[in-house]
Amino acid sequence: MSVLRLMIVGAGLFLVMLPSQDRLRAEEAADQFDCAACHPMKIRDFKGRRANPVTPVEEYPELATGKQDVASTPAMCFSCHDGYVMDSRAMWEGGYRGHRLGMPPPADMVIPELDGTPEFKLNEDGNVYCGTCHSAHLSEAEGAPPKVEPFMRQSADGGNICSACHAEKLAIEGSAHDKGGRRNKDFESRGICGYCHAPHGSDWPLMWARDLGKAELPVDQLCRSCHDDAPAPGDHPPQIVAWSQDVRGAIFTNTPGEMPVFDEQGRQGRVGNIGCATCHDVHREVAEGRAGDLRGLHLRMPEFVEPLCADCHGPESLFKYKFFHSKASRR
Amino acid sequence: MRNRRIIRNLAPVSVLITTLAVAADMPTGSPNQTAVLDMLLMPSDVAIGSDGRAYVVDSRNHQVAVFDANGVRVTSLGMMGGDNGQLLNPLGIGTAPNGDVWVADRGNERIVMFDASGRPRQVLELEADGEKIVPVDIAVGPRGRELFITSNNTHQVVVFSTKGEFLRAWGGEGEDEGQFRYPATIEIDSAGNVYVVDVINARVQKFDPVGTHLLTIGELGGKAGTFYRPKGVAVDEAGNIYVSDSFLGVVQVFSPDGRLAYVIGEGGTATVFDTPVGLAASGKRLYVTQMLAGKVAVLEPQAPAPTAPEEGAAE
Repeated sequence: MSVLRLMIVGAGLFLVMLPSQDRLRAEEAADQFDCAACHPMKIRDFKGRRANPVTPVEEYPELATGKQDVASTPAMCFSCHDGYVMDSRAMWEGGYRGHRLGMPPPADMVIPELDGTPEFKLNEDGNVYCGTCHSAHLSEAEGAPPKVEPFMRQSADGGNICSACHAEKLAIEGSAHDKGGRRNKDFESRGICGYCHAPHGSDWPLMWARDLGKAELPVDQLCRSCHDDAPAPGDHPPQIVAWSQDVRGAIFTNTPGEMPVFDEQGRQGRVGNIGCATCHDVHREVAEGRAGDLRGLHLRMPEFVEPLCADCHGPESLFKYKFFHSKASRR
Repeated sequence: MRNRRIIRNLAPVSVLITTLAVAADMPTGSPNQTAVLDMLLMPSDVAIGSDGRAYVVDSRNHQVAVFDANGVRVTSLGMMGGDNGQLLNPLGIGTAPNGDVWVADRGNERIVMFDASGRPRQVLELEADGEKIVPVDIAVGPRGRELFITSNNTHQVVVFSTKGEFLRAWGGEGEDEGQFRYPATIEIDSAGNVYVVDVINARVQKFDPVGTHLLTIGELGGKAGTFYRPKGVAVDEAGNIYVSDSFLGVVQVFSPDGRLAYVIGEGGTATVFDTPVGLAASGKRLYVTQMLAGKVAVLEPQAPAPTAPEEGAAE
């Protein structure tokens, strides 16, 4: 009798501890609800034979950035970030002015992977889009770090999300240009890169986050944002701001990336103007050569510190500079 | 021109209102657009004063644009900043019977009141249970003594006197009846009942003035009578409830008991507005704020004509 009673009590306890079908259904519905909040196609009103929407919604609309899931469209983001849930409206004001979208990454860029899955997704057309850096989910690759601040696929701390694709730029860490994002009130989310770059709201090239300085070359205006009175006259190789002759086709053309020259729009090319960044790599402190006494100069070729022109172009360059390049003395 | 009578077109329509096909069995009522109030930057809400003026929250211009009853812009209230009478990303607005204009100054996390002549008279930085309130919208009680405010950070409706004294609050974050996940706009009908758009729960909840839950309208969905991103709510003199959906772009009309009456549109096709958010109903008019279009459409909604009985049907 006592064994039977024990069995009955045990069975009762077992049944009580089992999740009820109602509860399971409720949990399932809640999961569905949370997904459907951004994925309308999970609602049968929008998709399938029973669809009967008040207005149709395309599952993969064609946008300026390419074809992509409706869940990751700017319209979907704005439906919450319009001030009523979160306020990110500056992003939508006056058009998008930030990180390049709607184009594939450069061929030589290595997109990191986790277990064979790209950590930073591209849209259906293989282009960079908002979802490349942002996701409302945990990263979908197994073993990925948990979701971090504002729906980022990686944290912005320490420039992590930027350097994941722009690895060479992280050489700035610990240099004189490493300001740690202190300019920004919310620097924790902007990281080391946010001191100079605003991926969501810049009016200037290279997502420049600061007011431009005064310089003839647009690309130098970025440097002059901070270095408005430097270098001091006489302490610096004279800047060449214009070519004295048509150099197109000249044999002394530049290899982009080594000692870059820039056109009027600030683009690198084989010919162009010499700017600050021709000799200085702002993302790299002295990595080789004579470290220490050159710290802070960010020279691309620290072994050539002075006189720079002659070191690259030979002693005759001083003559050439005077008669061809210098605005003051050229003929 | 059937049902498309333009009474006044006071400014050019800068963005074409497009329409998309929908199921033919959806009842739609004519919008009859009468005017457009534009040249605004991300307007978010509109309220009609006792003098017939339309007070439009010109949100990203950090001011309130004031239009007279004919749709002519007459003045502005506020300017960008955090000092007295200044605004920062204001979002919601309500008018009092005495002509005072109350603004939910979201960016400055406070309420600002302008009197009927446009002078800034009061700034209220509000706390409830020791927590500062980030206001999203504000509505003034029928007698002008109570301020009903939706709170973005505490997911509540908080009620204060016009002097800033805390009176009561209800809600809190959740999905149950009476709870909210990001309450947005708030409206009060002539009887003092309170209507709150519950954005992430995709519904509108109706309460009596002390917070007793009376009615829930809608749920997450895509068909007529449901919502995807409800944002604006307005109630007309007959008790009809208008709800905008900023993602789907439609405005739906519900009867006072919460049943779908019709969708604003024509011939079974919903009118698609560009990000419709705050609404206001005044007389026969409905004001629809369109955030990304930078304008407010002024409509005279008309319910669809009753369908004729089928031939052979018993009388």
